[in-house]
Amino acid sequence: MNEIVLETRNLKKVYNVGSLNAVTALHDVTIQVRKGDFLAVMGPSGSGKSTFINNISTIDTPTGGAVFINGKNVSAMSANETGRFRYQNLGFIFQDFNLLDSHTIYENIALPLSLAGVDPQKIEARVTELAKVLDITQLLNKLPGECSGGQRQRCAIARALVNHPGIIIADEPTGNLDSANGEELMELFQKMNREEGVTIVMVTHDAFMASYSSRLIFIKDGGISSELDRGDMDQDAYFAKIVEISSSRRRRVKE
Amino acid sequence: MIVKDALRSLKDSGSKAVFYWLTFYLTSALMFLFFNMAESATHGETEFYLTDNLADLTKYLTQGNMGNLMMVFVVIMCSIDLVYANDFYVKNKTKELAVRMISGATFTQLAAYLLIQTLLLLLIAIPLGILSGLILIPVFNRILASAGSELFIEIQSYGLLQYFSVTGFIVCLTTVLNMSFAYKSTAILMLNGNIESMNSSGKTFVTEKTKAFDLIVSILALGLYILPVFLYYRGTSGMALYTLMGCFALERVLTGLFMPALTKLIRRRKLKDPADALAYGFLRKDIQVTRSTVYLFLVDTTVLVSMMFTRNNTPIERMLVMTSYVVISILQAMTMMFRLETELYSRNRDYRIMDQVGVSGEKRKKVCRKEILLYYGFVLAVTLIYMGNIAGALIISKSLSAGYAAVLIAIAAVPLIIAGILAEIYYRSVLNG
Repeated sequence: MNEIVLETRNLKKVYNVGSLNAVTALHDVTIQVRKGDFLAVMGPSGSGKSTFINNISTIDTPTGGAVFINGKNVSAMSANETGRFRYQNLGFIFQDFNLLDSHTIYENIALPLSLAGVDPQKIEARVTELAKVLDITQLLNKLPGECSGGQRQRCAIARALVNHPGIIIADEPTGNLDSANGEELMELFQKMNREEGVTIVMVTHDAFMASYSSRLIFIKDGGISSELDRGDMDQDAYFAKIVEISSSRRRRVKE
Repeated sequence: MIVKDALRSLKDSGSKAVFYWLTFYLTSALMFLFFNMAESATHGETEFYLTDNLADLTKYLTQGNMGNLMMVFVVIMCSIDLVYANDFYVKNKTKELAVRMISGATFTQLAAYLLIQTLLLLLIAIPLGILSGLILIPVFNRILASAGSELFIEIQSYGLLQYFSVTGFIVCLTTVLNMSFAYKSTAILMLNGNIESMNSSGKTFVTEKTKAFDLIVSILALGLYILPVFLYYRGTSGMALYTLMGCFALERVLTGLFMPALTKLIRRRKLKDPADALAYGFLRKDIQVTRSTVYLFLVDTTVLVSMMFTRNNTPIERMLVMTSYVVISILQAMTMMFRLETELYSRNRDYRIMDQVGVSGEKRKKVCRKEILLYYGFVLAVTLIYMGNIAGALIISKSLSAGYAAVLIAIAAVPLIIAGILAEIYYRSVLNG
């Protein structure tokens, strides 16, 4: 059995705490993610899936409960520790890419390494290596505004991978891509997951994109409503199962 | 690496960095002039003196010493202006800071990154501020001589000490502000551009029901707001106090009468012209978030004008107050602009919605122009009601000539008009960006 790399215990998130407009977005979510998992998180709009991914990955602060990444309680870390911890353990990919528009693609990819004070020659070697793998070598001196959506997302992936993180956190990474680019990205994720053992936690609303994962959770009303393990299923069977669960949940909601 | 990045960030910030720097520069020049003029007056054995230590402050204040009053007032006003300027500059960098955060930047790195930019701007602002002061001192000396004063302004060691102490305070203040911003921000808030929720208490400005009692209180407040206009004509002493009272009343007038009236107007306009309704809706939000700076502007300008005429001032006292009046008017207009622009910057979602409901292109420009015109019209009206009547009262009491009164009003109004033009340019750049 693989080791647990990410664990939440009774994770809770309340917005507008202490006001009349307080909203509980997550309540008592407990989950374990093992090394090498490719976990897809699905759920209807407003179900709390983005809140979930933000709160398990240090980019938002939970109201209650605890999050452990590689055995460390991230909620108990100081602001400085969190920064270093992110660099050592996590890579982030977002729907909007979140690249610095005034920096070249090279500078964007190199940013985590420069912040960590890595030797410039080593930075260059790593950026060049990743650019080759992701086929973006010709883009390195361009600004994000000069690249297509698919190219920008590849750059964002390169930035997320540049520090060899054990866990990739991806929030709707295919949301701004066409289907061809989206599928290509999922194949890349699957390859990273299978060949390099990178753990991936990905939010998506698309059942087909979720079918690239090895495990899936449905979030509804701020809690995990169901889980699905791919096991030995091939992608088509897994996809059919996701669609089935997804539509049966919808039917239940309608009834 | 952080220094190189900070320099680059400053360069990328363009006009925002220039405005931020301008606040430092004006503050620096004012402080330099202020402390040296005040210390020169002390050496000239006039009644005008600054406190040697804070323990004496209350005593001097109760004795009505204007130097102390001015010192406290000017330092507080400049600090408030700097807080808003810093807020504007830093919040425009939220996405950049968020990207650094998710890339593994530590709290220390983020704070240092912001602080280096502030210090670099200060390092350029301080020498230029001192230089401007050095150029202005001979000019002021000539004016003093022509007014028959025997006083001569020169660089005073104690004045320099006070100047550097206050500048040190400014550095500490911006450091604390930037560190607290880096500390309290989560990456997700910054990524979403949700900067309002970092500060906002979540109160809503528009009340759904105005009860009879609230209405009576609001009408009384309106009376209190207008009352200073009549009191100004009864004598020049107490003008500052009347204005302060008027500002308290204005808060109630805005929340209890003006905003509900604006809401009704928006409902009516929505059916006739949605773009018009949008402009009024944005105006309501602008006033909500910037009203404290409007009160500050009102109090600053009237306090300083009343200081000029409520006693038999010496020429140097008048010059000191006049210098402070000019610089504070500019700083306050900039502060108001910073606060408004921070609000405009945080409205990306609203702009997307405007596009979705068909308010784009020329219509969007119309909304933007109308909003800025209405907002600055409101600010000017609120200011001129008091300033105009103060000037009128001073003219009637023969303390002031009509020409001088026009100059005083222009000093308050022109920076506001320029700030309005700059705000519209900025607004368009945000909409186009």
